[in-house]
Amino acid sequence: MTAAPPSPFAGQARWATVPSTIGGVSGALVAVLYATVTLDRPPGTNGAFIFSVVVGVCAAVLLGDVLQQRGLKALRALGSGKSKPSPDAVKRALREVHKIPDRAFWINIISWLLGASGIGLLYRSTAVVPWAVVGRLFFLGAVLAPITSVLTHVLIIGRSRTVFEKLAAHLPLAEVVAALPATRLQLRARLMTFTAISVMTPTLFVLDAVVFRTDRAMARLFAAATPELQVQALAQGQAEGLAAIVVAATLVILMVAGAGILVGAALGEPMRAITADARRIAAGDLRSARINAAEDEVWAVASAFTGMQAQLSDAISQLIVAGAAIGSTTGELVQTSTKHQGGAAEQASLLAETSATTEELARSAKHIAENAQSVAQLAEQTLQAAQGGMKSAEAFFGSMGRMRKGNQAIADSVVRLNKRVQQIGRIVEFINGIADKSDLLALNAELEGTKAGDVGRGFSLVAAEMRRLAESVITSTQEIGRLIEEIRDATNAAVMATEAGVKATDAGSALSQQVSEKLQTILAHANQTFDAVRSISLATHQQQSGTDQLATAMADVLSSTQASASATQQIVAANADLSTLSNDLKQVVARFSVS
Amino acid sequence: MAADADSKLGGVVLCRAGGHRLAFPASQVAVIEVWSEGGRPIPNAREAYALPTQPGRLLLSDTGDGVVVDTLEVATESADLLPSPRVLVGGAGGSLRGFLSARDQLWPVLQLADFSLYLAGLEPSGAGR
Repeated sequence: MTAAPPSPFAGQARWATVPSTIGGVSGALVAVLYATVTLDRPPGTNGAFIFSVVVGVCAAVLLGDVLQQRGLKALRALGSGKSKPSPDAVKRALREVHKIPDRAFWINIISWLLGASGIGLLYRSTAVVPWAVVGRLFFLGAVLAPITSVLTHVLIIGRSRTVFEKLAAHLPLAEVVAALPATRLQLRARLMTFTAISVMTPTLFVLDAVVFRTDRAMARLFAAATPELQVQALAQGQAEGLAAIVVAATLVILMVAGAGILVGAALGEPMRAITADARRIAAGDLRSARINAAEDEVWAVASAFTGMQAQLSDAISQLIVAGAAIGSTTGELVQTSTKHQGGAAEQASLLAETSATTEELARSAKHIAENAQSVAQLAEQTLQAAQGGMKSAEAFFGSMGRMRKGNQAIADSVVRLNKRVQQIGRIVEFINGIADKSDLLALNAELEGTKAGDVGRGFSLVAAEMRRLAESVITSTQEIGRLIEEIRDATNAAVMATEAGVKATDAGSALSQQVSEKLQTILAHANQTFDAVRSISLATHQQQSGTDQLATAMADVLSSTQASASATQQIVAANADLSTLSNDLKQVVARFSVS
Repeated sequence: MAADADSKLGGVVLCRAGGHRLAFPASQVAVIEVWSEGGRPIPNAREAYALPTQPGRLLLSDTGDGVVVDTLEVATESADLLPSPRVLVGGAGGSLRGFLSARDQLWPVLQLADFSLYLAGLEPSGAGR
């Protein structure tokens, strides 16, 4: 079983925060030196003072270290191997490392305040020390805490950037930038704070030293009973502790100056790196895009610059590929557009012929539509004629019916007339029989009168006259009989004629019925024909409209095609220009080196 | 020639059968009746002229003999009977008595019974027999 390789982040958390301990101890030495000179400690309490200082400084340093390490949990987990360097873990470590300088600053201030307070309290608890001494110890801690924290801050910044760049090497640049959005822009506040600390710390030290020496001199002056003692006390006050104060003030000023130098370096280092990258990019080297660790606005600039560098690298890469593709495509375009130019001219010619054909088609469609309109009018007239014929046939059918009824009435009348004539004939026959008998009787009477001789002559004459009357009657009845026969013949003829008329009217009615049915069929067909012709007329009208639109569209297409042919010529020229530009682009992007 | 009494006819019945004229003494006619086809069989004067029979008047004598003629009329005036030539005496079965002039025409005068017998002896030629 082989041991796992050590993590590249092992010990990085401790290494990053070591300057905090150094700064804290350095500040503590300066503070102890100053306190030794300016603090009026009760006699016999030096041991308690030293003990209190050692315990307090160690406790503050330990507290600060613990708090700072607690702010680097993810980094410590990566360094100890408890956490795998996954993107999320690395991102969390990045955020911790990015915050650790600020976090160390405030932890240092808190540690200093707590340490100073602890030293004062411990000193008072181990020796009889007035509260003023405790207050001065807290004052010294409060005055030195900011400058010491600034020093710690700028020392940690350099290491945190190194650790940051190590972590960033395990992530894509875009994810690093996305993990730390440049939202906290505090450079101005940071500089103002540093300036205030740089100004206030020496001022407070000088002020404190002046006040301390003045108080001590005034105390000795008030304690001197004689003018000589007062002069001696003033001379002692001027000489006592001056060197130590000067040394302490010098150390403070050096601390401030060192902090200023380090702050300037801390602020300028990322800008220099960005400047170097910009020069490298300007020289066409885009192969090694990297992240420059920074804070506040500088981090915004660095992340934006890194993003810009990545985007520029991608764009140049794509531009190189696109330039090659454009060069190839442009060559093909030149060939294709040259072919298309010939095709467009041929297409324009064909479309001109098609447009002419379409116009001819439109004229034909218009002619057809006019003919269809005429046919529709004729069909409508036919329909109206059929409807009129239908009405006439119905009227004729009615007339035939009435005629049939009239003929039937005539036939009935003639039959009745024939019966009457037969009755008259029978009466005439009766009369004729009577007349015949009368004639016979008259004959016999005349015969008897004749046979009677002269006696019966008159009787014979009467009988003869009666016989002549009877014969006249017979003649008349015979004439009546002949007339009756003629009437009978006429009535028979009339009956036959009326029957023939009835048959003729029946046939006429049947024919008119057939004509009516045929006319109904014709009317239905005429209706259908009219509808069909109307549909045809509508369709041809629509066809005419469609062909007109088609002709217009073809004219537009022809115009567009002619324009397209012209545009194709322009495209050929443009493609030639594009090919030239593509070559220029290749030459331009060849200046850049991309991975 | 007949005697004078017999040459004067008191009245005659002038008959027609077809287009032919016949005359019978009124004294020999007892009654005049009507005869029609299908009636009793009576000799028809038309048979004497070989004419088809048809309805007409029936002249009946006292003895029941009769002759059917087409038409007839009674001439009441007395007329002279013209004697028949000898060559014609035997004609018509001896029924011809002579002639008379009436209506500006000459009429043969026949004995009714004889003529009826004469007709009855002829070959049947019509429906009247």
